[in-house]
Amino acid sequence: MRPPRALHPGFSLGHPLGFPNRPHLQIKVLRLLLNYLVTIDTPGTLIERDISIEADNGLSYEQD
Amino acid sequence: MGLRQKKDRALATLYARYPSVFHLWSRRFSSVTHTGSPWSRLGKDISQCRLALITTGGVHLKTQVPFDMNDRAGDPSFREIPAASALSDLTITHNYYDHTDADKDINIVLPIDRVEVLRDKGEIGSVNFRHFSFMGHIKPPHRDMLVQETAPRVAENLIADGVDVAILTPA
Repeated sequence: MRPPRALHPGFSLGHPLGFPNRPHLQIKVLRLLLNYLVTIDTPGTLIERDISIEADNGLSYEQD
Repeated sequence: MGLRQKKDRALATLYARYPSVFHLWSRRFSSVTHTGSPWSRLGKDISQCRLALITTGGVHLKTQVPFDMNDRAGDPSFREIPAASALSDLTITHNYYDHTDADKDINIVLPIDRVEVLRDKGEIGSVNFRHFSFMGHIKPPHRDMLVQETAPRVAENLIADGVDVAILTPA
């Protein structure tokens, strides 16, 4: 498959937006998607970014 | 639940617990291949855009007909999900991935509440009045119906609704 733009956030199958009842993390993923929507200028670009590790490292995914 | 469906659920659990097994399977899985990508530049600021969600996570209203789990080739149909749906109105019918966590919070496959937050904060212009849901395990001969009929129908609906941005969340 070659979607126009894609983000692989590093979560396991069945968790495209991350973990349950982690609204701020889920919103962060959406904001990243919207950001890449603007910045990606090559069709078929796939961004691989392990947000699960970033979240585990205590980055501010639980606050706006 | 029949023996085959139990086997499908067991495989889904295995893939969730051991992602490397899933990646090995997915590399060998023959899916539709494309040489190019459809492309359209965003023509306006995101804060002015109307957004809709599309998931392949098998989400549907409890009042809707569930996706067909008895057909080994899958179910290429789709369900319209009203944006105003409460999470308690929704359920998941999909035996090919482990949706234990999504059952606790469907927002992880269909972030229906989270896009409302983005709208309320003015980060997007509006949320479409409906979202769309497929179940993402569709093989021949039903794949042709997905590619030629049901997926294009969803795209036509999105255009008719004036949607600027569609986020697809696979599962």
